[in-house]
Amino acid sequence: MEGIEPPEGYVRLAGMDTSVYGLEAIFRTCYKFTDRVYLYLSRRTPTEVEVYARARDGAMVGEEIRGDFLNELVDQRVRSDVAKETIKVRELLVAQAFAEANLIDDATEIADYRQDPLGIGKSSV
Amino acid sequence: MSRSSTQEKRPPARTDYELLPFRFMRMSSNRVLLVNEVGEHLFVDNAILHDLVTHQLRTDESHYSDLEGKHFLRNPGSMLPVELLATKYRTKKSFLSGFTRLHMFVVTLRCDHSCLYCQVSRVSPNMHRYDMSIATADRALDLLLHSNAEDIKIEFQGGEPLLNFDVIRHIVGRVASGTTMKRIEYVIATNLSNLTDEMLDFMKHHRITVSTSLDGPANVHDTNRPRPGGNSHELTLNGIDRVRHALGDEGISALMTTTRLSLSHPKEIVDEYLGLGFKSIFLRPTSPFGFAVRTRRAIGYDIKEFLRFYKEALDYILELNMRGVYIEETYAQIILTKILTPYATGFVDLQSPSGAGIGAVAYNYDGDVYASDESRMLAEMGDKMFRLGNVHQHSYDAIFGGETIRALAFASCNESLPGCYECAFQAYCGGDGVRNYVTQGDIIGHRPTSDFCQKNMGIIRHLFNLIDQDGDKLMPIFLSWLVGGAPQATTGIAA
Repeated sequence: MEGIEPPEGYVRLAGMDTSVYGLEAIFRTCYKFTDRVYLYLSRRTPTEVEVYARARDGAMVGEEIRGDFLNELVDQRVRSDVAKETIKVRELLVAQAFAEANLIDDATEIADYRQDPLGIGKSSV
Repeated sequence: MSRSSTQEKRPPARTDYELLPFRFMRMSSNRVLLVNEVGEHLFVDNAILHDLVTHQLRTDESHYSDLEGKHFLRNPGSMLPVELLATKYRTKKSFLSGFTRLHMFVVTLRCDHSCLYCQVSRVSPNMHRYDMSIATADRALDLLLHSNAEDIKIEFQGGEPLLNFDVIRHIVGRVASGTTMKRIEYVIATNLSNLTDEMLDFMKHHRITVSTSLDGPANVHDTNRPRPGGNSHELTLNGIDRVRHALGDEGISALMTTTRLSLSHPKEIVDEYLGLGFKSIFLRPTSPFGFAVRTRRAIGYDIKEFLRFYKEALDYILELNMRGVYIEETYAQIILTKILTPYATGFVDLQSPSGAGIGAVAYNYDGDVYASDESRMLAEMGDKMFRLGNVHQHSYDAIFGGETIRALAFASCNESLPGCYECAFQAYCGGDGVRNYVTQGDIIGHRPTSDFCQKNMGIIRHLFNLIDQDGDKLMPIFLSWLVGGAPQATTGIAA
């Protein structure tokens, strides 16, 4: 499978394995660089994406941009992993923040006060 | 008990902790800033971040307790950190309760100044048809009193609002003689050139405070704010003195607007505020509305230049504080409140969702209602995209529950905006759909080329660098700004 050729003037910034970085991380990285370069993405194989770039100011796309791009890709992958790992607890804490009831420990809402589930009435003496 | 038997009794280190939501930003080659969901932060090096996210951090390592205490991780199944985070999150978003609290009444477009960066459409002082009528003021006040908010601030604006003082007198008088239980504060944003003793007596009686513009020493102020006679600075100083005499020092505050001329006078501008006894200065860039658009070639600059000016002025302000001279920078104080406390600030320009409509609203002289001061300015430039309705034609529900407010709220939740979603500074920043629309063509905006984003990134990053690199010296000053007083001994307070 050959990718579609980029427009004239674009140089190959990097080819990346989508099973390593993930499309989400690749696109977030590209978005972040759209102030410095124009970007074009092309899928070369089912697991390989190529990114082409042309500098906005007309200069050559140098090693500094390439290096920054690749490092940012790693960071975006890590961010994506952390977000996926913590999504459930994030949704819970945001829901709890705006809820009237206690979503985390409903025992405090439905428990019988005579059973004193939180031990409030117990003396430490 | 022997040391070896004590060590034998210690539980084995665990790595089965669970991550809590956080974002990170690289501050230098080996220094990473971690920020959790409610804005609590920690500086770590690359190795700690690596170990944290790969679950290789051991509970007996020194950083573990810092990360646990600041809610970046939790012991397996522990729900207490989640409850604490939820409470802090709710506190951060407490600005939403009560809905619209800031109501701006544009009582006239008439003005006797021709400020180069004027954000509004102004007309000459003899054009009375641009005054708000009593009938319009009454309808706007009816809407305000319909609001859920118990604490409300009414800000009288213009043009120059003192040129239509009769309407101000009417609105304040109607509230005073009415039966509302709302607690209403008043402020007049004025250039002070038309101030009379009678107005001061009225302000004193009704506890109205004053906000004025002071751009710096006379050469900067008069160039930025021309008027017939060229004596704006002299009139401003005279007005400040008279207001202080009548209302006390707390009765007046001042704001400056940075023009290209201002960029080369950061210390002189700060000294002007100090010399006049102000304890705070708000270093503000020009905004992309009104006359500022037309005069951009003469007074404009790019955001990098503003950041250079800001840092130089802030460095000078911090140096003064270290010498025992108390003066705070207001924007830094707002951001530091978000960094160092869980509290909301009420600053509508830096909220998620933005304050447009849900935090503040502007009633124009003709009865049109706008989601923000900026959207009113946009309307004066010919685009009524963010007009919410008219006080004579639309109900409270139609104005405050309509599609425009909803669209702006949706477009300004930075928790879900491209570029903001993963940003470490998300908890300290906000969205601005109106500014995005004006500067970039749509209300969502494009973060990498956004001046608003660059400005806030630049300032927040600078503050964090100061906290990390010079915290011992600067944290007492920053903390004093949070409580509005001179630095005290503050040992034991963690950054």
